[in-house]
Amino acid sequence: MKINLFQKKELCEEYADIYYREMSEEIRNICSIFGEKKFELYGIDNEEKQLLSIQDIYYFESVEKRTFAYMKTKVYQIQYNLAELEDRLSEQGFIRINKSVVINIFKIKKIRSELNMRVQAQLLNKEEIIISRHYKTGFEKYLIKMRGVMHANN
Amino acid sequence: MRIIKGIEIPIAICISYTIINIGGSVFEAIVNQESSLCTNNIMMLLWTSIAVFILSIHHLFDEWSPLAMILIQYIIALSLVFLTMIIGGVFEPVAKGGYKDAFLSFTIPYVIGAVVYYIGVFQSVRRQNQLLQDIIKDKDEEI
Repeated sequence: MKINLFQKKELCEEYADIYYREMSEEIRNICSIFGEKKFELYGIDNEEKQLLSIQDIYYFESVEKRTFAYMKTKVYQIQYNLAELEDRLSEQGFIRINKSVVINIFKIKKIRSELNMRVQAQLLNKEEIIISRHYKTGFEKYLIKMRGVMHANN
Repeated sequence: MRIIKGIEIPIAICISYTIINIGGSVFEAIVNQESSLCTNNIMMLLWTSIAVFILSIHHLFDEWSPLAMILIQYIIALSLVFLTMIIGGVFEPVAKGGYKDAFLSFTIPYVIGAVVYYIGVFQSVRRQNQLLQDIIKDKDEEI
């Protein structure tokens, strides 16, 4: 299939026109990709529902079967569980680092190890979260993958 | 017969060697009543099994710090080693200094292993920090 890309900075919203002779599986797949609804995450704070900016979330934590989104200073309860969040937000920098936390790697200031060999992620808001041994390898593989993605984007 | 390939080859060699060695020792002990080599081989197998068992349960200590995990595993493993010696001592007396030798034979490789693990943790932290820096740098350039 021939693809033409045009950059128009004055556009308010991106759009795509697809010309086809006959509807095929390939065209259907393209339509399903374009038709995917953008993932929206709502948080509840004091019974007030609010749309959260995903890149401003530091991490998600599961506490007694409830999931919370931690922003710089505020905390919201959300309706998804950690597995769903990890699945949906994997491309946006979110990865599980222990049994109850999915972290945003773009909010990590540095990784540090303590004398007792425990490894912690120090966040930009000075919070510290333990990276458990079970998720350590997966975390490193994810960082390698994300570095490749970011590098390719540039 | 199933084709043995890749990582299965050294595993197959280890298993075959162990079976032949232990089988031979047990046969020797039964036929010739010669027990010192047999006991030694069986003890080594038992201790290796203890070490593998202890390593295999490390996920149970996932919430603990690695240092605490290493110490707890060491205590459990050493206790099991001494227990096998005490049980073995019922059938054949333990040589003078036997417990000390067992302690050293077990502790020295364990400490070496712990040091290697300790270095590994710090190296992996350094690698992860480098990866993070690269990602943040690429993201800043993207913006």
